[in-house]
Amino acid sequence: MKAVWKLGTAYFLRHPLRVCLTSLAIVAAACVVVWVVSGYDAVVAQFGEHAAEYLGHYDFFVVPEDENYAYLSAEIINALEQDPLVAEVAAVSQTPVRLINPNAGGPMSGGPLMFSGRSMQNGPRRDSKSASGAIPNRPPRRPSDATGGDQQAQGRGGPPDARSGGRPFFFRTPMLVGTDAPHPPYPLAEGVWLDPDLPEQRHGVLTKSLAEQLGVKPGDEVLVIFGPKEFSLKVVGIVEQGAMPMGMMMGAGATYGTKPNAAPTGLAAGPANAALYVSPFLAEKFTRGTAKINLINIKLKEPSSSSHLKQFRERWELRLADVHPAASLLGAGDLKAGMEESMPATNARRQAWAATGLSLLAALFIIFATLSMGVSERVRQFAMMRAVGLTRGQIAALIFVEGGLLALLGWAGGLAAGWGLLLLAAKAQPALFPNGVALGYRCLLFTGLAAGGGALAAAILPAWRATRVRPLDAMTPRQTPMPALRGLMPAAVIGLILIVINPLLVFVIEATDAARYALFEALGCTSMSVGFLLLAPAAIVLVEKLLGPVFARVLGLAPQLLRMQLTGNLWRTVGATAALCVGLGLFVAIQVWGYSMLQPFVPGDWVPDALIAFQMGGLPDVEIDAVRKSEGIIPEKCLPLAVEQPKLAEDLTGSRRHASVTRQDNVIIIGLDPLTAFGGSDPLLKVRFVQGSAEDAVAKLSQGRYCIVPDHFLSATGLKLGDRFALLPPEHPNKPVEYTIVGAVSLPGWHWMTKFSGLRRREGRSAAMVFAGYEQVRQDFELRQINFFWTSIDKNVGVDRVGKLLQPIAERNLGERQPVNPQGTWSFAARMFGPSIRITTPDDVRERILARAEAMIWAMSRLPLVTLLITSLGVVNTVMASVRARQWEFGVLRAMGITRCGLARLILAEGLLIAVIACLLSLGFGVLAGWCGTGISQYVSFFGGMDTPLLIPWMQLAMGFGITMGLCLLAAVWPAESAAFREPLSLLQAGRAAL
Amino acid sequence: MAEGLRRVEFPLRVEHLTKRFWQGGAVIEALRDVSLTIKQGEFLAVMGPSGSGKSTLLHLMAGLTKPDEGHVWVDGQDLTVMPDRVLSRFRRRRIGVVFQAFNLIPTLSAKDNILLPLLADGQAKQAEKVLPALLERLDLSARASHLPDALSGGEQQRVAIARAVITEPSIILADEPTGSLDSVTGQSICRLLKELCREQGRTIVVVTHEPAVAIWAERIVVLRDGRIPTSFFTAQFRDLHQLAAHYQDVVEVMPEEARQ
Repeated sequence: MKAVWKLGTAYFLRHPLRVCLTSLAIVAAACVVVWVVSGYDAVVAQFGEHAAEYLGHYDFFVVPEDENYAYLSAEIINALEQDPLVAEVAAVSQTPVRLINPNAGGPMSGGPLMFSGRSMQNGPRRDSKSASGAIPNRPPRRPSDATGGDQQAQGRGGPPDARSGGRPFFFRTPMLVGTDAPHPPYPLAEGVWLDPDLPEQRHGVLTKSLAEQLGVKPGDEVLVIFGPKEFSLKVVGIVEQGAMPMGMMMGAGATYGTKPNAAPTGLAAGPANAALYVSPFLAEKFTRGTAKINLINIKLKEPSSSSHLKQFRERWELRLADVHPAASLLGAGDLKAGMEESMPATNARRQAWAATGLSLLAALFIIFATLSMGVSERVRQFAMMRAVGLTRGQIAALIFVEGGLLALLGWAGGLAAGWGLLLLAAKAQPALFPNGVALGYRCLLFTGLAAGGGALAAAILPAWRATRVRPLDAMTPRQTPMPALRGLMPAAVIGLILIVINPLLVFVIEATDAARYALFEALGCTSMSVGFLLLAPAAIVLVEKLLGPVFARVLGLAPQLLRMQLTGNLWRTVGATAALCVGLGLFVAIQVWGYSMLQPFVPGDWVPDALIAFQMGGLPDVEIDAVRKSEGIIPEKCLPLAVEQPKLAEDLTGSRRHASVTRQDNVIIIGLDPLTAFGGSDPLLKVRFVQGSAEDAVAKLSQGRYCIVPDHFLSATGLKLGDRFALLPPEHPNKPVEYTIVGAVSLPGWHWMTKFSGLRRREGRSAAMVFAGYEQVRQDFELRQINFFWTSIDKNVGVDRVGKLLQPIAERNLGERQPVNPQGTWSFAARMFGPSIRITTPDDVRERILARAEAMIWAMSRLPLVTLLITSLGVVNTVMASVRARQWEFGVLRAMGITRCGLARLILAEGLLIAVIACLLSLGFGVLAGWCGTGISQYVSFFGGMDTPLLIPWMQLAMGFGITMGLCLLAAVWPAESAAFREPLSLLQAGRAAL
Repeated sequence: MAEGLRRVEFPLRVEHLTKRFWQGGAVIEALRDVSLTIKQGEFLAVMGPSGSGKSTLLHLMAGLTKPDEGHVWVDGQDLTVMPDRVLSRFRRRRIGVVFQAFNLIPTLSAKDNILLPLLADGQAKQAEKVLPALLERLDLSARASHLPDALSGGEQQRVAIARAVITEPSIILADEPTGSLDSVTGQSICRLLKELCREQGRTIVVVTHEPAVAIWAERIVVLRDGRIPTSFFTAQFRDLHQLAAHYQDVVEVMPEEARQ
């Protein structure tokens, strides 16, 4: 081993430049890992602190586990109070309410702080500003139903459902917390805590964040609104409560996006972050008897004793699971575990693994190229070593030692450089690091994995090649045969077979969603990557053969001079090309996937020029003509729309099993004149009928309950033309109405058209935009007034002028604000004209969605591009090695009369050819990977379910390819310069010495 | 004389050439004040022991390096003052160089190796007319499409010679052209060079340490310790042995102390 170590280190000392370049590339790769993983470490490092903050005064809490019975029984409370380890038990009720500061004036504040995502609560509205995001009111449809806020939205009678408590989405809903705890759960910031001996006193204590939002302090009054009732009380204290740990709302117990009607359980049912603490008596009174105990806080006598903690947990965990209703015990460890599973932590972890994986691959190919060069150059040396007695194992060990040394240098350097850069960046731009920076064990582990794993894998093939050298090769120079395309065909064929596996798995083979995704991840992606790797040698030979002469002519070189420039040392070229493909291939895949997935969400040409919404009040029939005749509106292309967003009577789309953009429990039904909309040679909505025909559909829609649906609705529901489905009118949910499908159309972009325009009247998401007859929809859903118009606009007048001209119509028909999703009130998302008129144009929506999507896609592309930059260092190494190996040849060329410039162009051509091969391989890999990505997204992504045609964004890809060509050209500049400016004799002498 | 050869009385002339090298911190004078004139159509051999500076002289004549002092004139042009670009073109067109071994570009066929200077000049098409005759003359017609690793040592050297003459250069410089060959093959190479000189009036300079090669030349210039102590004509020697003996006498002149 000593001999091996000596030989390895001697080789390193002999080639300091190569070692430096390779190590630099590994350092850069490790730096990327440090940068990304330290973010994960920083997130995780805060979990303990956040958990302790969240627990506050207590050590555990008990929460309901059964979403159908989201309360805790008195039996558990009593039993806990009897436990000898327990010092204090505080059972509280938490009920969502609205809070108002009656003295604030101006915009309604404090609540509901944001949209709860499901229900609209009744109550007076003070103003119509939408920017606060407060839930707008809907006018009560039936006075007798003014008993509960949720009732109207749910369409059911009866008192408000305590189960439904407005679960927290992104945003916090204020909670009325009924507690008789003698101590505040969190440190008091101002004022005093509640007096448990005076439960009837109208006093309350706010959490700090809520107090700041409401603008109240101790001594001020707040109004508590539950249903139609208001209650006033005095704030006597404010408690410090840290922000809910990031991701808690989307933690293990949260049900966001999956079960819309579920009550909070698990972590999501923990202590409210935005709370008004009152006595249980007041909580009962304010909620009219519906408040139930749904949280128990527990303080142990000796919380610092780990044995007590363990004993308590063991005693209660199983017992709580067995009681009815089921409950669970949560402590600091559970909170931390929940945070680990939260979306921010999961995202950080995914990014950490992604960065590690990319860096490992980059390190692998860079070290592979370096080791391959070394083997090719030292064939006679290895032969001599074998001749003097070294074994094959020792030769192989030598290669592994060299790879290991490179990895070690890269790892240590990367850690040091990465950590240093992070500290500098955190000091210069602390805002970029909200969680701080931390170098935890994960950083060490992940960087070691990237560098060490890459080196180990990279050394295998070169080591095998080195062991193939025979001792006799020391006596006679062995002529390495130039690779012929024929010889590389078997590997290429195997490669093609492996490549085909992924598309088959995604598009052809029948499997469950989970199994398909598992196969895609484990087998499909790997086989495709290996397949392209096996294709690389043949690709190199082909490109050199076909494009070499082209490049030669462009660069003013004799084509013969570029022959076998790359294939002269095939493995070196494979290594450099593969290293480039790691970053470039992923970049292409992300761009193709991103822009393809975007396609169905970009408003198509079917969308008319403008969707006009009258958001305050509504227009009676007599005013419809006034709109039509308004300047700028083309009368024969202006359609009033009857719009409602009813729930589906059955879960046709499977939204309860797996919600997505096409799997929801409601639809947006639009009643319109079918002839103007779809008929004739110039319909207003230029949709493409995927099933059925426009003529048949127009005829049927006028006759009764018939409808046209989007194509994905049929895929998601399994329905076909002629089938019927039932909708629940919000006013009469007990009287469903059935519609028959008579046509299916392609509606790209309908999601974003409805998101900001106000068409989503009830829910934040919808399964489909359905078209039906105007009168039928008005009748079925009792739409007496009209709030929407779709119209063509005279381009000479313009949308802005049209909006201004419609204002008088809106003003004389002002009324209550219409129900709408929050995004439908965002002032930046459409053009507002006065308080009522909102105009959404497809151009505006396209611009917005494209800008946002492009930003997201490029953000995802950053890491691959950084990897590309790092691996271009490998190209420098490759070209340098090529120049070194051919010094004698270059000396002869210069002796024959090739100029310096000619020699430099020859070397630059090598860099460019490597770039071209990398671009071609990456294009193939990226397009295929992106296409398979869109395919698998149909099954696993929330944004799947739409028809996603493959789109190759050539402009964006051209940018990536341009960067690659530029980097490779740059990488070849130094080697070209170093060779071209040497004297011919110097090249001949150096080359002869090398030989 | 070959068609296209330029008629200049002294196609090659060196004046007061001095070349120094740095070696491990010390300065080595490989050539010291060397002057030499070569006539048109002359076959000259430069002999000397190892380290005498003969290869350095050839490299300077070929413009592969620049002297520290002195000038090199080829066809009346001073190579030492030419910019690299001009010198490269000049070398491509006017000077043919044959190296000892590993002469050829391994990835080019024999034909492409021969055409290399013309490829660099963008004139490969014109050479297609003269190439068949040249291949025939050098007995390479059947090997034109082969790569160098498929050729014998002698064939490779013949390819190198063909490459050196394809541009009708003013001078041909050969550095130990038989160094890697067996004696029989080496003699055939020498015969070929002699024929080129006699039939086509080419000016040839051969660097060698072998008397068996030098005897093919008309004149021998001896280098020792970077200087030219003597030169003589081969015609004055009866045979190779006499030549070799005289050469030995010239290069092994010992200091007085060594004789005692």
